[in-house]
Amino acid sequence: MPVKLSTVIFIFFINTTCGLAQSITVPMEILKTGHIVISVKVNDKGPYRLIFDTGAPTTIISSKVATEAEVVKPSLSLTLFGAGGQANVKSFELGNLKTPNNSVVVMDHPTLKVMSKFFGPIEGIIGFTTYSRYKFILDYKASSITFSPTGFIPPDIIKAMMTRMTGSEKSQSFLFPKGIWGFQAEKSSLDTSDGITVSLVNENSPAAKAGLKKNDRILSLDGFWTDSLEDLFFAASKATPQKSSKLTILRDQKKMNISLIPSTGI
Amino acid sequence: MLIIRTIWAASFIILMPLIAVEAAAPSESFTIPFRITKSSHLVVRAKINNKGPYYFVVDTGAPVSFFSEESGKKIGLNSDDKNWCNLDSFLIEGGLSVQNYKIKLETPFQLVGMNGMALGGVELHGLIGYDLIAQYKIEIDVSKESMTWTSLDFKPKLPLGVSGKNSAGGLDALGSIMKTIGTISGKKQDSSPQLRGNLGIIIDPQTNPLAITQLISESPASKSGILTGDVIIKFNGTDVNSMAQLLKLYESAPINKPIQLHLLRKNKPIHIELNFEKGL
Repeated sequence: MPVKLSTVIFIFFINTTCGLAQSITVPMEILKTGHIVISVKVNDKGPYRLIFDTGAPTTIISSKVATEAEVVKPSLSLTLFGAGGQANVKSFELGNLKTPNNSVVVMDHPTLKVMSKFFGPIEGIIGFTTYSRYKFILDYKASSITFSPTGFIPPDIIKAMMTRMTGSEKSQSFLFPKGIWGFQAEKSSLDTSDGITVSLVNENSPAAKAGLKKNDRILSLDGFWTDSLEDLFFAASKATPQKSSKLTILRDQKKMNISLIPSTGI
Repeated sequence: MLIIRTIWAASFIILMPLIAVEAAAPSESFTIPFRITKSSHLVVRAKINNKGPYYFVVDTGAPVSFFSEESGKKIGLNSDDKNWCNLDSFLIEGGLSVQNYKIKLETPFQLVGMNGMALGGVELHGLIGYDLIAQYKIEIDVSKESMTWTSLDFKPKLPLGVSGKNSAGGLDALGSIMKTIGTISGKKQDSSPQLRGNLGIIIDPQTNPLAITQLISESPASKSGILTGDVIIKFNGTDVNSMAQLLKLYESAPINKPIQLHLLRKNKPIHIELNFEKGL
């Protein structure tokens, strides 16, 4: 018996991981307004035409879809944004790629009503709560989007917004570099040029070993601009100790790249 | 006649590959760093006419790109009667430089709402919309905070609904829910984060208990009395068993309180107090 059980678990595991690795390319319709429309099945109903909007924080479906796909009971009040309109969709289906457990807001968005008049029925918006779960490739030339699930679970955005608006969020925030780099940088408030100047390189530190020198002007770190000390700390907070980071610097008016490997430490 | 036709046709066959090569412009790829705001927007930074950086939401729901009137005025941008502004340069963080770009000098109300509420956690200055996004094949992986833009040989047509302010019955008005909430709250921006340097202690992560292998010269650690070879037992009063655990404690350590370290030196307990400074 234990053997059988573990086999079942193993098969289940394979299934779920395979599901995760799957990717699907679906056609996108580009409206004359420049908006992207894709077809999505909701709880096996539809497909419905939804706007794919990277600027939308939440996914929205119309009350029509919510009723047809039995996302909510028709009697429920659908007019309120927020807790009242929040619902869970069992399945979104893009092509043959099904994604379970989707947090949505049910509302009849006034803009979509207007757009539907021009371009046929549009029943919602795919926003961050949905698209963040995939790696996706937008290709307007080929009129297609490719989705690959990453396993990422987006934070509860509505809850976060409410917390923020009611001011109950702890506000103290700070930035710190990941790993030990071994240098200091400075920029005066009058200095508006690109980059930040190295004011000290600690002896025998990773920075010294990488060849960083005092008065080097750091222009970017791993692609992040470093125009202020905050920028520099932000970039260094995204780095990984014992992995090479690329610094683009200006030394004697010459641009050059330096590979610096921060050490593990505190 | 037939020969001429054949030659004519053959010349095409021969020339075709050349034409094809000519047409396929070398496509350039850029890794563009982005941030996810607390309001779940994907934000990239850009410099306009070498000023900035400014924060832009990557927004497939925006027909064109927008830059806030207020920010534009500050750097002396002028726009025509339809709010278009030709930019001398538009440089996106990660190295992507857009030539001859024009932008709408308007404040999209989504931003008014978000900035008013401080929902973003950063001040947002504009949106990057369809007319630019469509020129690139864009790969986005939120889980890895990575975004790659590869130039496509594709010039999108200027979309409808951008002819003037508040145009086309709200066709470019996606996101109006944000404004509705915005009006009920006047919360201010977050103040910029405090910067915390490190202590200057290099540790061998494979050891248990964790052994200090090097102290950065002129760092808080080098002045504190810690010696190379000391091992870390406690961080701020909590027992430490692994590097991952130490880093977790370290990450949430407050800036303005001294750090308490309990070390062992040749099996003798030592207590050390030290403060964060500004070094990386």
